[in-house]
Amino acid sequence: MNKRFLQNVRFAPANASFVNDVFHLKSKASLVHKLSESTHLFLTSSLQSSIFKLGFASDTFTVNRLINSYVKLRETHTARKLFDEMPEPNVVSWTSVISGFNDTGQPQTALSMFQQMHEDESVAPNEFTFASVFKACSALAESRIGKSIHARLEMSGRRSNTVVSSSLLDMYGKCNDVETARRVFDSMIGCGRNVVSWTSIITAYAQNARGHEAFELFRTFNSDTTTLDRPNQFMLASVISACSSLGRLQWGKVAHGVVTHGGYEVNHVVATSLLDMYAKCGSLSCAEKIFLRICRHSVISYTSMIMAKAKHGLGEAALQLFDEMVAKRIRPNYVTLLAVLHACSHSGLVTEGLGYLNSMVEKYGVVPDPRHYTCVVDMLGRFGRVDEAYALAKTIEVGGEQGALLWGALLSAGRLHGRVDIVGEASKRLIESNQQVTSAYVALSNAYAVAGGWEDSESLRLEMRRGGNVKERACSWIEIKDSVYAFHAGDLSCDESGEIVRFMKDLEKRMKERGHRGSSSMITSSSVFVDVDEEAKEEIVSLHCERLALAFGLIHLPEGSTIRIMNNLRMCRDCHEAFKLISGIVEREIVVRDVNRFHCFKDGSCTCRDFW
Amino acid sequence: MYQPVNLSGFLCTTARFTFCINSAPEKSRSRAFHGSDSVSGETVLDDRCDYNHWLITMDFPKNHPLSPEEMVSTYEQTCATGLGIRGEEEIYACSTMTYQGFQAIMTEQESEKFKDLPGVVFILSDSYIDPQNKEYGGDKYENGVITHRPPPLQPSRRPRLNRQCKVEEVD
Repeated sequence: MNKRFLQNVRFAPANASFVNDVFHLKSKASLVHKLSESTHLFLTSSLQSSIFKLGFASDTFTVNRLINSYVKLRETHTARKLFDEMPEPNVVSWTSVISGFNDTGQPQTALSMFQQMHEDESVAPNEFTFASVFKACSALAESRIGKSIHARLEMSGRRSNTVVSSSLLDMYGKCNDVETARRVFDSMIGCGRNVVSWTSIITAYAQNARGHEAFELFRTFNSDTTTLDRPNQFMLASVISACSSLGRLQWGKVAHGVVTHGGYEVNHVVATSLLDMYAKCGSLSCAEKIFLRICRHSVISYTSMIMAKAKHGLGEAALQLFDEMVAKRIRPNYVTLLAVLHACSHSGLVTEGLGYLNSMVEKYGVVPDPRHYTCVVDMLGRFGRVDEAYALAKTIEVGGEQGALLWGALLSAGRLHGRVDIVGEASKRLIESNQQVTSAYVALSNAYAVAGGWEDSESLRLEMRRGGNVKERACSWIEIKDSVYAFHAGDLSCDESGEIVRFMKDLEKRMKERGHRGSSSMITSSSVFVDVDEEAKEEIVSLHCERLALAFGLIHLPEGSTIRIMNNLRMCRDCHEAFKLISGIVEREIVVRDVNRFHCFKDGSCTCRDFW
Repeated sequence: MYQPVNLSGFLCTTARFTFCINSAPEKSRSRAFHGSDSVSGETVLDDRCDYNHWLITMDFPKNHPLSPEEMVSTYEQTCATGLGIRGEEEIYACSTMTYQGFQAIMTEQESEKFKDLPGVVFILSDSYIDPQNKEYGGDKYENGVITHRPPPLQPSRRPRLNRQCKVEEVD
């Protein structure tokens, strides 16, 4: 037998009975049919051998099918070799190989093949080629190349195809050009916007921090009476993650309702995004219910749950979950270890935290990156071991945003424990690298104030104002049904202010009856750093935005329901104390999400155990 | 007493309250709060939740699978427990196949009562699955009579890309 024909044949194991069938196939049609059904590399190679022996080696149609079969089996190397030997590849041949490279994680090669195709000029790309190529651009987030290929697409006149437009849209979304993605989407009216296109634009908004638009589009899609399409699991997952990032629990629940109606609760992707949403919106009990209903866990579902427990101050429970996950032989990734460190940090498990940091590599194969170190610096700082935190921070070489987080964590630690020296060091580094300059200045100014250096403090403030650095305004917001109400520190009032203030005064009276002493005993950690008399100070603190949000929630939410408030800054001590008392007085559960973690106030105490 | 130092954005003599809707192209709604727990005077758009229709999902023991009739009976009992005598009359739909739960008319305040009832898993505000016909989905329930309705249509098949048809992976 001529060896050339047999070069791709591998010898069959003894029990492969289909081998006999192969050698009886004579017709092209049956060969091609077998190829399309082949799921074994051996079978495809045998069929290739038959194809060559029967003289179909230069038949484009047949070889295309062969290439496609190899592509499905992810043997792109062989597919490419076959392609290179084709005397007359057509658009289908090119497209098969390009998409093969896409599917095996080689988008760069896919793009260079497309470039070759363009230079070759013998074959014009069709819709499927363009769709594959845009997918490659998405994978690489290459907007420059994507745009030039878009130009070619427009010139080819194939733009009005749904599939191409959807992948074009998807590409712009992944390249963070949401405006253009939206333009593409809007231009698709009339040429078949289907659930895939809607999903792409919704995902584009969701992943580019424009959750509102994502959710609005979702609603529009749902109320569109011209389409028979219903949301699928991908759209739902994207919408739910948009709700997570916005912290909109009510919207998340609406999406959950749609999930239930569609029977998607069992879908893993949807379930994981629901878990994440409930966790981020402060409904840990719902997150746990979802977690327990997932049949087959993955690293993602475990990590989300561990992070949720960590942020709610349930450190030991989070670590137990981690052990459970490892026992199930699910491999943790860097986010899992980050969640574990957060668990230790927020629950004061310093020794355990350091242990995880030092054993991460050998036990789990995860190399600590700046985020892990930042978390440990935060943990040490929170626990008062500020010098150790500083020593650790100095050993990390990191710049830019990562550096800002690292030194910002040290800054908070220094502030918390009144360490002007540490605050000074950290502020210097932040200001030098031009990151988080505002909070650096504020912290430094406050530190001087605490140490009694009012002049230094004031001159820093002047410098801030001159430099145009404005302290981030404290803001709290609360979601009631479909709307969000935000409360800022400022100097205007609105319609309901009278009612809110009255309500709060009444609450304060009841708090005083229970022995609440206000802010006078908390000078060093209070955020009020000027010399005013006690009464005025009390008045100032009592109007903090989180208290206003709380009063508003108590007035407007149904009795007995949990009140959820979001804060953009760390919760101050005075409000923390007040909230503990209030939760006991009004017998309601209050959940506050501040910049670092969740506080759950119930019956006079907080899950953070006064350690935040 | 020292003069209060004028630190911009730092000291607040009176706090400012703004009703600030995060930038979204939502239609504006009237903000007339009257101190009650329900927001009155709102224009509720067709497809949006009116917070008067609720979907309550339930869990059943896996070791003793119940028949559909028993499940429905559990829904009725649960609803009566939550809403009081004849509470089950508020049920307008339910399902035992696509999901296990029932849908009933009640206020947001009343929905809170279901939180701790045995077997109740999630309490979600219901919305139209078919806005044109104003349908909430599930099997229709009317005084104990159940009319089965097909579940929502599956999403239309994605156009096949010949050989390149692949299910999208969500990152």
